[in-house]
Amino acid sequence: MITLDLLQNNKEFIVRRVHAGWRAKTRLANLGIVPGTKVKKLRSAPLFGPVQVKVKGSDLVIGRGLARKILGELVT
Amino acid sequence: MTYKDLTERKTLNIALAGNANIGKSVIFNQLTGMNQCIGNWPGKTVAKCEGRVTFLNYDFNIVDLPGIYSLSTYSIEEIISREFLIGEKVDLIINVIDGTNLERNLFFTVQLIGLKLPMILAVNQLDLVRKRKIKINLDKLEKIFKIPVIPVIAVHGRGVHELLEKTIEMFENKFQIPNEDFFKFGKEVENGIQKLIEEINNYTDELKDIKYPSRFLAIKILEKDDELIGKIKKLKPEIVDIAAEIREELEELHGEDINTIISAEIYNRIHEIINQSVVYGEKQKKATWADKLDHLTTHSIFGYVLLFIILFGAYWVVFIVGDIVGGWLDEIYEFFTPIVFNIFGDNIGTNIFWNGAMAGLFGGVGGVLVYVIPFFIVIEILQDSGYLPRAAFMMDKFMHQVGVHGKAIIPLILGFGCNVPGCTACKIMETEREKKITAFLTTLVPCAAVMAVIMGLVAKHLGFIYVLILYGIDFAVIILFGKLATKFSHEPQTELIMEMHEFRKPNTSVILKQTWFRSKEFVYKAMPLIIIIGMLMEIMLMFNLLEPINVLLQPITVLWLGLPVITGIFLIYGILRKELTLVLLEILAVDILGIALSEFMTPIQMFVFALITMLYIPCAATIIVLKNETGWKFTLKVTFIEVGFALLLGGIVNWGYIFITGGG
Repeated sequence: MITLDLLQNNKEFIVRRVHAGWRAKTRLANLGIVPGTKVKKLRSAPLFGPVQVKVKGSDLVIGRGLARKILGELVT
Repeated sequence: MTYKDLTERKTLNIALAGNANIGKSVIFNQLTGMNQCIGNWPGKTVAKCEGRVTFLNYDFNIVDLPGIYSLSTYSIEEIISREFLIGEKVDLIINVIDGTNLERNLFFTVQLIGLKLPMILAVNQLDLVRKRKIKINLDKLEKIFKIPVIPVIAVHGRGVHELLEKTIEMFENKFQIPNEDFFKFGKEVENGIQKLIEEINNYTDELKDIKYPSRFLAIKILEKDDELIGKIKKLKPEIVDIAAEIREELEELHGEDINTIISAEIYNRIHEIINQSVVYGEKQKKATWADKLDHLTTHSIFGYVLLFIILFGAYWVVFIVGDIVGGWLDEIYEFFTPIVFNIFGDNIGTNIFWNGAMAGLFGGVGGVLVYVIPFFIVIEILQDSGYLPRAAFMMDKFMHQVGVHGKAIIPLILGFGCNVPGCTACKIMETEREKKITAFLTTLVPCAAVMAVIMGLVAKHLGFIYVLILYGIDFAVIILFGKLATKFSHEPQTELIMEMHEFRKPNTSVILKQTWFRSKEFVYKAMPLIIIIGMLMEIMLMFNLLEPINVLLQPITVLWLGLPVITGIFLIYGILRKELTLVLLEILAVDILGIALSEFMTPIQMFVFALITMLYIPCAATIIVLKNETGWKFTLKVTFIEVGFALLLGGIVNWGYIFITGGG
């Protein structure tokens, strides 16, 4: 399992766990980031900024601190 | 809810609901002709957009709800939306969804259907859908959800009036309320919900003030919806306890928290629905211009270069346009001044009218509006094209240093042109905390008027290096206050979560319309006050009330800041328009005393005067807008902090200089 911020660009992983607080977790769940969802990392902003991912057909930007709390398994 | 009374009237109340950035407002504009986002939701700082239209002998009252992703309590917008929808004043919901992104959009649709209100699904962006070779079976969607589905291409106005035709048709057939047969949760969750529904239905009397359908309510209580749980707790705490038991059981069973379980199950069902009704064509391999631009604007070097060029370019364009048009207005005002005084004579009335009210009017138009309008245009282009989220993406890391996330860069950028649109744009921040900190920091950004003072005084007489020092001080102050605000706010900082849309060609009519209506908001809300303040100033001048003010301010201006005594009045005038401080200074020194500015003021006085002008208070128009966005209490707090801090800093600079140079 790795965290979303460490996922390489253009690689996909399946979300297994989200360790964020209730608010952020609900928000992410509403946007489709729940265990079992496939997430593709597109890029991250320079200087350890936020990450951009593709999930359920749309692009989401997630702050680095939050991305660190999203764990998943690499799709090989 | 009864719809019987509908036969008595012919006004239909419609709410437009949907995710952010999917063309909902475009549909609203097409329907009502005018985007009337005047005024806020009661007690809230979110703009309420409402419009009326008459179509086929029916009057429609249309409310454009804020763009949201869910009916939870994540943002104020979500709470406002659900309370409005359930508040008995909505006959029908038009749920606008983005055809290119059905999965995300339908999640919200499922929640809306839970409210059990008559509903139409408007599938927008069908031109893009076709372009991307996506085939959506609209009939199939209609069969699954059992609500009418209308294809729409909002930017071209296609399908927009069909929405109203369908509404009338549904009304004449006594409005069918959608059911939720298309979706049941998994066995365990569904049993839990049913159990809770039974409990809720047992207490219909106690819960009669809570208008949500019992299934919706049950799901929300189960989801730990803090707002609804708070209400239920007061009416029937047993229900909350039972919900907690069920929740615990489910969470243990699934090894996940309840929100994740529920969201996941809804998304699973949507996935099935999509599989049944949508066919995705082959993806284009060739990178489009939008992809290339996307790549460039988020590049780790060129991204920042481009950001800088765009900001600087925008600033430059706005400044040039504002300066030219503002100059014309000044000339017009000066041209008419002798004429007005010739016709009406030099008396109290003429002075209050022309030198007060009209000076305020021209000041507001020539000093603020000429910058505000071009800035809105530039910003709408950046907004409509999809650039701004990229700026937020690139700047998130830096913005965290001042206690807010990347989106705050947008109001701050606007603030450089004029603090007024900057403060208005703080609406985009999700929570009150982010909104207030961002608005506060925005009022500290040196706007075009401040730049005019710094350029005219400091650059001209002291050299450009001191301009950089002043801007450096300003940025340091912004960072300092950002850090302090973060420290003193009790709520936790929110992390950036936002959707990034593809670049698209900006739509001219959307841009012009948005610009017009945003400017109108400023004209209606701020201009009357500026005119009144202008009149008050003139009255004070006539009764020689300004001289005592100068004397009163003397300990501060002369003793503490080391400025000439007359600058007290200038600083008071500067509240109205910051560039007035320099304008009045020049009038006094050059026109009246006939000496050069450099003889009237020493270099250190000029520096302190520019520093004070830059920081001492938000201008009158900004104060008004800040009040509209955050309320009086917060606005006064910000104002006092800024006045106090600017005076403190100015005095330190003055006395520090005296100390170092030994009284020179």
